[in-house]
Amino acid sequence: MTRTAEVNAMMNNYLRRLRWGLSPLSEADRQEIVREVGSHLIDRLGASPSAENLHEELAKLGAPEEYARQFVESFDLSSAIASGAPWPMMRQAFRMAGSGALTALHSAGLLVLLAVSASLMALAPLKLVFPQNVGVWLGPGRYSFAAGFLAHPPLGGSEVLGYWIIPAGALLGIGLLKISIVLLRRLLLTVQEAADHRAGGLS
Amino acid sequence: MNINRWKSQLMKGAAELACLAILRERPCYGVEILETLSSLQGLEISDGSIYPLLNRLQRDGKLEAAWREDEDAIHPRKYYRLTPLGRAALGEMVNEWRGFSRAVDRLIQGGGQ
Repeated sequence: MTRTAEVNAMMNNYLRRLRWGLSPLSEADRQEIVREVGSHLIDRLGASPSAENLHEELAKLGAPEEYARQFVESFDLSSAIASGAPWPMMRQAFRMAGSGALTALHSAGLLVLLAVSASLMALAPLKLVFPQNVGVWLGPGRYSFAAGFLAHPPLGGSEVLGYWIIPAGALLGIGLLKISIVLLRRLLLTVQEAADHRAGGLS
Repeated sequence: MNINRWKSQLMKGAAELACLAILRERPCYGVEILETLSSLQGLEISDGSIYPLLNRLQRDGKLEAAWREDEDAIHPRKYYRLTPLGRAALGEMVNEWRGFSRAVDRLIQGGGQ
């Protein structure tokens, strides 16, 4: 049985809207996805390509814009994970934060960790420019302690690290950065797994 | 308790393993994978979920794909097959799954004793 003009028009309309929704992707990827979804619909319609059956099949895929968004998010996540770079991964984590409160919380925690790591690494150049204002101070009281870049170092406190703060800050900063990258990657992989199946596990 | 919701959560974790396992035998196209899954009771996944998943597995290098024209079809189909990386990932996932399943079985049968 051949497809009627109505069925063809419905299918083309769906695929055109899907293609439009996939516009953030490369032309080759868009073509590939639209072609595959078209092939899927032809297979699903089989010998009875009625408008009613097509309507059912399209409903299983969901609205074309929403369906396209699943592909786009999946592509964005994959490229952020593959980059291994903290900023693209962090940006992607915040984009996906809407998918759950836990993702949002983890993203916020990781942003703080990244900020601490950047601050520690920034101590090295700051120490060279402002040697009096960067350090770790103990005193003057028994339990008083100050560290970092301070406009007014504590009066009477003694600076204990000297220029050792440069390698110490750099090592700690790099260590924290590496931990943040591993945790970010893990978070994005979890989010990716959930996003793959957003349409629901069961048919 | 909404058992379908719980089943859906279970399937979410198993969908990647199920797709890779089907492709271990031979290359398949999307609808074929969906039909194989729905023939195994309790393993169905929705039509909408399969393509983003296959797409991602292909990008991850676990699957490779090629368009092929079958004799029984009037249109080309995208066939997926496992890459060596996909095969290795499947092996690891199967091991994990077996360990997990054994532990749950023990718990169910003997209350963890």
